[in-house]
Amino acid sequence: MTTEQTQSKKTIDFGFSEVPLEEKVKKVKGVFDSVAGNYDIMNDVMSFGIHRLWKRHAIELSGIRPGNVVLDLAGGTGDLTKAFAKRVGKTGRVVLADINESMVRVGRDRLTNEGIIGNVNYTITNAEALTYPDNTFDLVTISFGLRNVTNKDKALAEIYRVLKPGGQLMVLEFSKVTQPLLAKAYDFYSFNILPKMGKLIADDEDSYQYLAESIRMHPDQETLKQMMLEAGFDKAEYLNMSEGIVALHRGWKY
Amino acid sequence: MDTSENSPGLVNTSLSKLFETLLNQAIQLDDQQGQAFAACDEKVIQLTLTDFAQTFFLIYQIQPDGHGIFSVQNHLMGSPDCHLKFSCNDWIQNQPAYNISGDETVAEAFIEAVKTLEIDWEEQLSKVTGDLIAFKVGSTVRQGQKTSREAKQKIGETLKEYLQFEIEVLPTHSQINRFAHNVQQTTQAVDQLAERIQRLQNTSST
Ligand SMILES: C[S@@+](CC[C@H](N)C(=O)[O-])C[C@H]1O[C@@H](n2cnc3c(N)ncnc32)[C@H](O)[C@@H]1O
Repeated sequence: MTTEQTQSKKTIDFGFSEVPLEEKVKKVKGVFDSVAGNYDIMNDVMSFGIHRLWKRHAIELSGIRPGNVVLDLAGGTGDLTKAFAKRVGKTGRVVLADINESMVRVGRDRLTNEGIIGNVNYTITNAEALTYPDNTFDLVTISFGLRNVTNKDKALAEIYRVLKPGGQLMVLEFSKVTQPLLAKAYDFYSFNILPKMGKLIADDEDSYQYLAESIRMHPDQETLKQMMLEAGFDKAEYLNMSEGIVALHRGWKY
Repeated sequence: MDTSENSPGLVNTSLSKLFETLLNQAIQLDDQQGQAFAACDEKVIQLTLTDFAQTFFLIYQIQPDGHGIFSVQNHLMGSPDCHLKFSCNDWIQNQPAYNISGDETVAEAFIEAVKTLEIDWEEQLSKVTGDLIAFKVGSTVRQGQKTSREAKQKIGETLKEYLQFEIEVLPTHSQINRFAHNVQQTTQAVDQLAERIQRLQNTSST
């Protein structure tokens, strides 16, 4: 059997379904092509605006400063890029990299309209195959993106490679709710209410069903921390926000 | 190792966001659009409020369109360009005394620039938190008859109300109480913060 044949037999989660490995990329692309236009509004509605506080908290903890070089991986419509661009200044640089052209286009238009120009680059990139030289970035962030990546170990190893020594990775991602009562309410919300809101606002129930399922399939806090260490990170830790609805993992390269 | 942390971090994040909003609004309203801050471009200024044990890092950037904005955060990689320490107590009594370390030119330029802003704190706060709360702080500071301890307490209460309002209002608007538990936790954290402020006030006034 050739490698190609072996590969096509391998399957991976796409939400709760199993799809051939190479299918996932296409399917994830479909989801984000379909949500791009309504992505920002949906984010606010889905999280009651709290995603802003989660992101803000991550931005603060990054300790970013003028002159830093940042990679906002799976940067989508650019929430983090915008905040970093304001902080790194003229002497620094932010690269918004995302696999999906529609998301990058929405992000670039939005940031340009808001006057964020000069220190931001936009690129279509797969997190699993970064085109940057070793030791390029002070900070790499991947916010609500890692769960969509097919081969997470590969992406983590790539991120480690492009980080400068002393640099850090921040992964902001939905995680495992630590409080049992809240976990039940949250499940009900994710599987019953969220897709309906997706239908109502974006007329796209399936994509939001996928989002809910992909959140459940994503590795929990300890597993992801372990994956980071195995990918080469010299130190990894996480903190839960909102009882673990979201976790921020941080990994350092020494 | 469980490195989990919960609400207090988010409370600090809300405080620095509030501070950032106030500062940038003041610059927007300023006739000179904050030109006085030019010497602070691309610099990091650490501000420590000694009586609240609170520290903020301010990054000033002149944007491509020429106007400057501050980003405020409570962590920093590496060291700031300068560090200013002062007490709110002195500031409220209009006797600001700063302890400066690091690049003094930047620190002094920053202090002078803040003076030019003529911030109407009452109006600024009201934009962010609603008229009622601002009136309470404003009248306290304005009357000047009250002790600074009372004034500080009012500011503490205002921040507390602001945070409760900001954080609670979101789930109230929705029919689903998904964040009920979290809000309760945050409220507790805010209470603890208020208590801490109270304790600090008590210590500093004895
Ligand atoms: C939920 S959005 C998050 C966007 C943004 N970071 C935020 O926090 O709002 C997820 C993004 O991940 C991107 N993505 C999915 N798989 C990717 C991959 N393999 N490489 C890079 N980006 C990917 C999607 O295109 C989408 O824009």
